[in-house]
Amino acid sequence: MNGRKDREKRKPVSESVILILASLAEQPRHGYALLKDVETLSEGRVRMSTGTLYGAIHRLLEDSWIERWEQDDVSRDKQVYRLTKAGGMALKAELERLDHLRKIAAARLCGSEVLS
Amino acid sequence: MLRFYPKSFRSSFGEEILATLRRLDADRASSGRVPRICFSAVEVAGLLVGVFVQRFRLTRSNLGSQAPASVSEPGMHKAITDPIAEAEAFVRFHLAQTVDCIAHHRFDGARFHAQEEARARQRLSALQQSSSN
Repeated sequence: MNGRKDREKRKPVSESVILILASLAEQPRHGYALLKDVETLSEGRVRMSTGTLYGAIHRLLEDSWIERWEQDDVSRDKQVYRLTKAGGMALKAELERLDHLRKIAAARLCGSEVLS
Repeated sequence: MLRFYPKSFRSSFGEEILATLRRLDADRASSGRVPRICFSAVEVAGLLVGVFVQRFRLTRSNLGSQAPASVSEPGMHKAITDPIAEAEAFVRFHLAQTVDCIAHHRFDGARFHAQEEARARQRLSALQQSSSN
């Protein structure tokens, strides 16, 4: 079971999840603030619906990439989430993967006749 | 819409989803009728997909808890000798893939795995019938 979880964690993550993790990397946020920040981070390109956001939050909580941040003065409908160490490492690994992909694609494109 | 979510999901996120929807709706209070209709349509579609995904995940976890402990998924290296266990593993595998594809908006892949899952279920019920006869 652990092996399976590890394999799932190594799978490429979607852009929405990267944006959620990046948003929480800055500071803990609740759902509404996350939706707004994801939209800002993606320059308006990614507009998640509420159902999609909470589906992603559910999966990220299960994978322990994020956690609920308990605050005394916050009502249940303004639950705040924050990035865990595992989530931070996953985000870093995903960014390294994307960077590697960018480098190899750029190298191939430079040698390609398509743009010449 | 929230009523269609599994109870566990609803109790964890129901209030938050409603609060977020209220705030988003308030943001659009001053916008015209068409943008508000578009917003509602997108939110309803998102919730529908969410219901579908969460229901699948629940079914998958239920199937997983009913399966014999020795059964692993296709693609893992453990040999499966029991044809019923194998068929069950195929159902679980394609169900998981369908959910994953939907979650990542790969709808062609989701369609393919849903069809494969239906086939695996047919095979499973045929095997179960023949073993009970």
